[in-house]
Parts: sequence; C-alpha cells; structure tokens
Amino acid sequence: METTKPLIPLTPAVFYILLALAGGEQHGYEIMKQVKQDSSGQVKMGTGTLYGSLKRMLADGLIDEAGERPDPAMDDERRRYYRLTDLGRQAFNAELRRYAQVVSLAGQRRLLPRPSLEIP
Amino acid sequence: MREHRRDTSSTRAARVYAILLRLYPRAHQQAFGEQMLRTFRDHYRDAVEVRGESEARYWRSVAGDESKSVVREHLAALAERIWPMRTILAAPFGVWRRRQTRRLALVTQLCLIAAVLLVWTPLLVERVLLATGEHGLMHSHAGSVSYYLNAAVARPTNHFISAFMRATDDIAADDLRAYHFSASRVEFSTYPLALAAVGAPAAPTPAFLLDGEPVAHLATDVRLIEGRLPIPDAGALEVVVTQATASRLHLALGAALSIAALDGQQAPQVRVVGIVQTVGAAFPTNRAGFDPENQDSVWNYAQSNPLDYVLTSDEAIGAYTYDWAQIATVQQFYSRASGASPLPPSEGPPLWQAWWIGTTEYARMDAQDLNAFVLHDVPDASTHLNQVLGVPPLAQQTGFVAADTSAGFYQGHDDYTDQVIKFVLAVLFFAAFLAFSLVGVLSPVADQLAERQQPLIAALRDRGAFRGRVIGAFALQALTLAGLALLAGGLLAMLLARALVAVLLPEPVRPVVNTLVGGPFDTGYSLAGGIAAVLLSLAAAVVMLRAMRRATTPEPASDHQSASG
Repeated sequence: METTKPLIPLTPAVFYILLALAGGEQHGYEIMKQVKQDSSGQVKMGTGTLYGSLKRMLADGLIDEAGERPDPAMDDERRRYYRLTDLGRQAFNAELRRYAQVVSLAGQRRLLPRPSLEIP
Repeated sequence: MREHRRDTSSTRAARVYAILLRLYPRAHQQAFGEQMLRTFRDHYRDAVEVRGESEARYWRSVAGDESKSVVREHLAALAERIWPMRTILAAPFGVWRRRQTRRLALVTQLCLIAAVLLVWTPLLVERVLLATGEHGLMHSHAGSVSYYLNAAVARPTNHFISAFMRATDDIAADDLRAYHFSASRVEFSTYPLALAAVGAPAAPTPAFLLDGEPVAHLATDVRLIEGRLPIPDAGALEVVVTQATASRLHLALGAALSIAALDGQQAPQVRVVGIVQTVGAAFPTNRAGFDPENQDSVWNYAQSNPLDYVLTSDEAIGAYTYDWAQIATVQQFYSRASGASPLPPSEGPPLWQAWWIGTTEYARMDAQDLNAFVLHDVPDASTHLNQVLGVPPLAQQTGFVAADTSAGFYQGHDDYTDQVIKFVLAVLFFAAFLAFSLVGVLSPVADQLAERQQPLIAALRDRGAFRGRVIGAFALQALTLAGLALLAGGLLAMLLARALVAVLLPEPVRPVVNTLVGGPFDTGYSLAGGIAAVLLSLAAAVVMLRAMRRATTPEPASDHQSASG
C-alpha cells in the first residue's frame, strides 16, 4: 500500500491543484483559473509552472489523466482532463488535516487573529 | 474587422509561445507541448482580449514564469539522465541506512582507508624525497656509489668526455674521489708532460683528475734531464720517466719497457726516450708516497697530490706508471676493431687521451666506472627505474660504444631496485585489497541495480528465456562495459599520472614516471595496471553475477511480503 507520508507537506502549487481537482475533472486552463480563484489571486500559476507541477504529480501518482474531450463552455477544441487519484485524495486529506491541526493549535494558544469588523 | 485583428493577435501570440516551448526539454515538449499551447491560447484570450490586460504586462508575466519553468524542467531532465551515476555515487552513503550492511560497510571502508594510508604514504614520502634530492634520508651509506661494472668504453670520444664531465658535476665530488682512491688498484699518476712541455695549448682536463692542480705547473715543475720528449708518430710508444722511476726500475735512456701482451695480441713496444726531474709541489720526489704496497700512504698522498709522473706523447700513444703490471691489463690501449694496434689519436682532446691511456689500471677501472656513471647519468630514481624497466641508457643515446654492458647495482643501490619491487608489489597489494573490498561495498549497490532490472527480467522470462540465458545476457553486458572501462581506465590513468607528475615533481625528475606515461596501451596493460584492472573487473563481474543470480531466483512469498512491507 502506498503511503502519502513522503509527500506531506505539499507545496502550495500542488495543494491548490489538488484542491481544484477535488471538485471534479478539469483541464489545464480550468485548473489555472481555479487555483487563482481559490487562492484569491495569491497563487498565480503560469502555463509553464502549471504543467511542470502536473508532470510531477502524474509521476507521483497524485493525479492521472481522464482522457480528452472538448470543453462545452469554451470551444470545440479537445482538452486533456485531469482527476485525483486515491493517493492524491489521501494526500489532499492529510494536508487538510494538517492545516486543521495547525489552526486548532493556533486557536488553543490564542494565536489566531480576530475576525475583522470591517466590511470588505 | 475587429474580430480579424483579434484573431491575428492571438495567432501571433500563439506562434511566439510555440517558439518559447522549444526551450523545454524534448520529452517535456512531446508530453505537454500541445496542451501548454492550448492553455496559453485560452489564457491569452481571457487576459488580453476579454479582460483587456496590456500585452506588455501579460508577456512580462509569461516570460517570468517560462524562464523559471524551463530551467526547472531541464534540471529535472538532467537529474533523470544522471540517475545511474547519482545512484552509484550515493551508494556508499546509502548503505549506511541499511542495517544489515552497516557493519560490512564499516569494515570495508576502514580497510580502504587503512590500505591507502599504509601502502601509499611510504611510497609517497619516498617519491617526495627523491624528487627533492634528499637522497641522504633514504640511503644508509650515502656516497658509497658502487655500480655494477660490466660496461666498457671502447673509445673515449668527445661526447663521452662531455657526458662524463656532466655526470661528475651531478654527483658529489667527494663520492667520486672516495670511491676511486679506495679502490684496490689505486693510481693517480697521470699527465701528458710532453704536451705541456712543447707548449701546446692545454685541453680541458677533468677537474677531479687534476684535483685543483693548475696546468701551468707542468711547464715549470718538470725539467728534462736527459734525452728528449716523446715525438708523435715516432713508430713506437715513447715515454719519459722520472729519475726516481728510472732508478727503481733500472731503466736507462732507450730502454724498452716490458709490457705484457694481452691475450692473443702482440705486446706493445714502449721505449724510454727521456729522463725528467720533477720539481715543486706538483711532482714531489718522495717515492715512499707512491709505494703500491703501502696503500694507506698512497691513498693519503693521492688525496693531496694526485699528479705524479706519467710521461707520454701528446698523441697519446705511450704510457707509463710505476706499476708496469697494471698496464698489461689495460685493454683500452687497443682498438677493438683493429686488434692489437693502439688507438688512433684522432678523437678527443689529446690531454684526455693521454690521461686515459696513462692511468692504466686506474684508467680501466675508471673507464668502466665512469661509463657506468654516464650510463646511469645521475643516481636518481628516474634513471634507475628506466634502466630496470628497459629504457635505453644514456650511452646508447649519446652514441659512444658500450661493450659488454650489463645493468645492475651493487649492494648500495639495492634501494632503487627495492623501490621498484616495492612499488609494483604495493600496487598489486592495493589492487587486491581494493577488489575484495569492492565486493563488499558494491554488493548492496549491485542488488539495487538488479532490483531495478526486475521488469526486464520478468519480460524476458515471460518470453521463455530460462534463467541461465538471462544471467548470460547481463553478464555479456557487464563484460562489454568492463572491457570499455579497462581501455578508458588506462587512458585516464595515464592522464592522471601526467597531471600528478606535472604538479608534484620538478622538471629534472619527471622522467621518473616515464614508464607510466609511455602511452595509453603501455599504461593500461603494464604489469601493475593490467593486473589491477583485471582484478577489479573480476570483482565487479562477481558482484554483478551474484546480484543477478539473486534477482532471478524466485523468492518465497513470505520473504517477498516482508521485504515489501
């Protein structure tokens, strides 16, 4: 049985890609947009960085290809879709648990910032 | 119109990006190039054409991202290519993580370190001492230069003289004198009086022969009492003798000197043509100092007064010393080519030839000794190593004849021979040690390598290849690589030796490794290098075969589970 231990903690790029794919299969540009949206623009992933990360995640078995098909929302060009593997999901969940533990620990120690009262 | 402009802009941007994609490694391009281009088009359309982002800003972000990505992917590709090398290099450290091989690795690595320290340090120190000229630290009998003598010079040519003078300059003068004067047949009575007496220009004379006596003394310190000086080409060997000698040997003017014939040759005819008297310090009349029965006296006298009375023609055809018996054995009087005829005076300075002939037994011994000196040039490691290992001696290079030459050393020079033997033995010892140590160190590495071949082995076996054939295929591969490594190793060893010599040794002693830098094939297949390479190759082959045997042996299920767990 494969273990996710060596993969944790995940890099921000890998984490956000897993987060994007956690909602379902996506092609490259969708992932790129989703990452930007999920990170509130803090993680800007160019094409080169995106596919470098996808390549390594494929090699590590975190994701795999889900075939090629057109994106009905864009045009009729065929795009390659990616999805989470079981290992990828385990790694993602493990990383979420780690984040939760960190947040919990910070809360116990009263290290979390107070919620802002300002209306954005 | 506006739609057309958008298409043109998008197409142009895609073309530019397609060019940028070529900067990626080929494998990356093939796997992701098309997708990346499509994603770029989507991104460009949204950013520039839909949201109206400026092209300059967009391309700036693209350039920043692509530059980092290109470098990162190339590094990753390089890391994949050098994986085998990285694995092998990391293996010695990796074995430490394996509990079962930790002890083995400890032992073998300690053995390697000990072998290097024990074997190479003394050799290195010796080489450094040789290179720095500190011979005294290596020889317990400094100055007892006693070469193995079976070399004879047929003709003392100018070349020989200059080589000899160079050789005498290269060694300590004390050594040379001590050896000569402590020899059993000491002679020191050499000088062509006739040459000086007739006022001929003095030729260069070996400094050690005169021992500081100025040539001018000969003209002032010898007085002709009776007869004449020898005349060149008079038809016989002519000599002049001192009054003391004439009295002791009962020689009168015109008397023939009896010189024993060489074996099978005619005795030379030597006639006394003059009686001289020595005056001054250069030619003392104290004959007690020349009594051959009193070696100590002779030796002491010879040290301070090397000149006595040898009277000869300036054409070097006559000779005389107080001990006539010594003349009989001097083969250097005669030309080997023409049998019993004396040497023609055509070569070399007359002064030299006069000395040469006049010194009789001393000359014979010197001829051999000096030839040995010239043969070996300087008693350093380079000449001795070269000689032992077959490099032509200086005598053959400089062109004068060396008859009955055989190489070797007396006891005093066993050091050099020992060094050669020690060196070869040390290399063999070290190679054997290394080979057996490598077996231990490389085993885990080979196991890992074999493990990575499991898919290939499985595929071969699926196609019906039996175990022997699989092992044979890998063995053939290993042997081919070993053969290539052998050739490459020889070449690398030569280059390494050249580099080390250039860095460590000063110019005069760099030939010390002539035998190592003769050429790639000489080096690769020389005694030590060849055997070491064979041993190492065998060790590597044994390790590889053992690993492949393990890899092709089906493991019990329980073992497999425990291994994978």
